[in-house]
Amino acid sequence: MSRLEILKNRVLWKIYAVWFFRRIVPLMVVQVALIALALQIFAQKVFVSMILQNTGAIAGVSYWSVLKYLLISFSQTRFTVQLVILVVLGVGALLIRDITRTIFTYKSMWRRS
Amino acid sequence: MGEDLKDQEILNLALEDPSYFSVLVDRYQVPFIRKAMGIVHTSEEAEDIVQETFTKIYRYAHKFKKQKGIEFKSWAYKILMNTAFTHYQKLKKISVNVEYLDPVLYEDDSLEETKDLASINDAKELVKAIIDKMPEHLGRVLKLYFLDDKSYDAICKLEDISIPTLKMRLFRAKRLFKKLSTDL
Repeated sequence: MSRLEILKNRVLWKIYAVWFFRRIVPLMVVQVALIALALQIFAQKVFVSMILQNTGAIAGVSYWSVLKYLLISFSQTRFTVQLVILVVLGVGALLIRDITRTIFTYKSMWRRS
Repeated sequence: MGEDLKDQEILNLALEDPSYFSVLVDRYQVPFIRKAMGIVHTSEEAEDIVQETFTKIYRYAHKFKKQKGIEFKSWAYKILMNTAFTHYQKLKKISVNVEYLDPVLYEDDSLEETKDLASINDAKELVKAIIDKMPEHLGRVLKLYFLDDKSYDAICKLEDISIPTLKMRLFRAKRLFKKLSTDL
């Protein structure tokens, strides 16, 4: 590897780090904080171990039964809990999107060079 | 990808997708290194300056957008020069002998390959030896301007001469310095 290539890689590393800490980290911090808060509320309102126990018992029947049980539980629970679950799923999806974006950008950084 | 775009457009794209920045690095790293070498004269320092410059360009890219009518190139070179001079000042603090590395005073290629302060000290001795060989009035202005960092006004007052005379003496002194250094 030539000196210029080494220098270019060093520069691109720095640029990637700047981008990551400026664009991605603040988003991730907010997302993780939101998920943590939502899960805390969820844990206060829902008897999680009982749900898991019931899910485990139904899992023996079929996967479809598990899905049906979870959907029925969701529809019959309080509005606050429904909202919390939706927030966790929504923000979780955004978090996964940002992690994927970070990995793909990292790869394309050196593919383009 | 992105090679046909203008610098400014690439910079804007790089804010969202940093991989575009590699196009700018390809375009400017060689001229930047050349420019930085003209100031610090060591490849390691020049590379550090270039790296820092690119980082600053990316970091302050959002500020550049607000200044219409200014070319990316001139803006980038301004950052490069500021960074290079900051490095030069730091080097100067580490060793007061850095000013001996002025390109006009010393253009020996072998010095470019030297990387340690010991070599710079050798260069200092060499420069001193050459100045001693020069006519007193020429050696003196050269020393005052390049080694003591005196301004034109200060030297004119010290030597009791006008600015055009000083410029002419410096020109002659530099030419003689070059000749003597190649004769060594």
